[in-house]
Amino acid sequence: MFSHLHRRILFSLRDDDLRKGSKEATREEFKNRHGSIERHPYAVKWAEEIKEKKKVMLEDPLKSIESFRKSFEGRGKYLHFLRSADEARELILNIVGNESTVVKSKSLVGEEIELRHFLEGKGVKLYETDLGEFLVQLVNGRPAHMVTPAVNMTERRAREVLYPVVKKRMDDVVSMVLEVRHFMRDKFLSANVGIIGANALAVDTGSIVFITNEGNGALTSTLPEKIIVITSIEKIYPTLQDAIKACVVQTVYAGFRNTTYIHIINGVPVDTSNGPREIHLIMLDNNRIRDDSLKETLYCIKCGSCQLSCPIFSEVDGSWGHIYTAAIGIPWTAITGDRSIARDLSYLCLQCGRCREVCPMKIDIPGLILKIKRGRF
Amino acid sequence: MKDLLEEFKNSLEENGGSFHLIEREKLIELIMDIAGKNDIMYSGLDESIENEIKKLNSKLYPLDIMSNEKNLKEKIRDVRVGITGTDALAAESGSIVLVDFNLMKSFAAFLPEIHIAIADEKKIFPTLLDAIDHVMKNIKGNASAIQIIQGPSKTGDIEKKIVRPSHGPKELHVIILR
Ligand code: SF4
Repeated sequence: MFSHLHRRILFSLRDDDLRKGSKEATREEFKNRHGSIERHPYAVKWAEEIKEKKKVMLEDPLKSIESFRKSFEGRGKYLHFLRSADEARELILNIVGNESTVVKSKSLVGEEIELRHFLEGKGVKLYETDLGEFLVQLVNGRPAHMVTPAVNMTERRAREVLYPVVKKRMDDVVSMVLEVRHFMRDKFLSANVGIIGANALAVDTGSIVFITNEGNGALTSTLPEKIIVITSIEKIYPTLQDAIKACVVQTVYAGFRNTTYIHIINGVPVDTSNGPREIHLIMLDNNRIRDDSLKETLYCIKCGSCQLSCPIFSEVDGSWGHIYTAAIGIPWTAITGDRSIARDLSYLCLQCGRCREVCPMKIDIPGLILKIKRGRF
Repeated sequence: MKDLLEEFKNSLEENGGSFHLIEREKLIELIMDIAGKNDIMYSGLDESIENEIKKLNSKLYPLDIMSNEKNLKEKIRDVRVGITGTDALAAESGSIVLVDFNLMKSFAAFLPEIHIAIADEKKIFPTLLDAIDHVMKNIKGNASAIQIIQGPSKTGDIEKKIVRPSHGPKELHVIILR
């Protein structure tokens, strides 16, 4: 494994194009994050608040799941609590059916269980509708970063990747985006299943809350007959207000002035024969509850700022990781993926501590990585 | 009230949306200006506004009436303009909030190239949390979705260059009636 990791890292070190994207993104990180915090100064306090809420919810995760279940379940809405990635994949395949066309918006938990590869392997036609994820899908790769998955792809490379699919001349990023919009429109309208991720779940209203910029999440969650929401146990908050705060904090720390859309899903529509009839929420554990020594990882809201502030990430981009990459990606890998892979990855960390400085949840990321390095987890 | 309006306008424009504060009599003229001769779908409008809109020359798709039609999605796939009402606005973040029961507001807000949201000045709240608080307290029945919209659709996925639109509308117009 170590040599495989080595090879990947050497490969990305040699590929200037690959590194250009992550270099620029890491260079801009500081400016972007400060700009967005200045614009929404309350996000700093909100971050503290939601961390406290998370702590409470994670004291007894099973109880939190049950309270969410109580308020969520109802007409057409089902919650499936699943312990392992395998179980989750099988169940999702069952709900989707082999014959389906699926439109999917971004879900990191979906990546965690390698859902796209799995469903495509079973003959399901699946389209990643988030532009970055779509690019990643076309090169059959993995996201390099939590918020901008194709951060390591240059404009030139993106054009090469898109051309075989859209078969149109694309002079600039604007025309690329437009062609993808046209290409995807048919898929949205004909898909029978939509798969989305969730940023937060609210116990008081039983709501699913998620954010997108592109509008693909809105189409994915309103057009198909069946909706599958993939999420994990650490996303439950006591109230809808907390859930919205979590979304705003994530956006602000990701360095965006705003997120274009915050979607709140409460149920299947009434008075219409169009739109979803069933909503299945996949609540994945995947070792989160059992893992006590790295528990702090679960406070992570996946804003990605620790990745972009990491000096190693800026050099080697997404090659430093296994599904979850860089900084907090290492403990995430240890919990949800493979411990020995996580250990190999951990040695690259310099313990410089920049990630801890930028983290809205004040997670001691170097401390977690040190535990992994020492094998104490 | 004036301060909130001003703040909302600034935030909305910062988000890439267009702000219009007009007298009621000017509504049709403004919509014609924005929509041109394109087809229009709409949902969740007050009856009086709906009656006004019926005066337009464009082909109209009243989604709340059509919501049970088969092949609705096919019928509206190329409609370029969508008009919705608005359940609340937030000044600090420039957000508009739509409470959606039959998802027809979502169709009208996300499928077309131009989304026009018509709002009442009284529904502007200082922050997004206030706006959400207001709608949650006033929802009657089971809203299937609540959509918070803060600008036209965008993507920054290629070299972090912000490009509009992505999958949603490229123009967002908020019309506030005095
Ligand atoms: S560890 Fe902190 S900085 Fe890193 S993604 Fe999670 S919340 Fe963001």
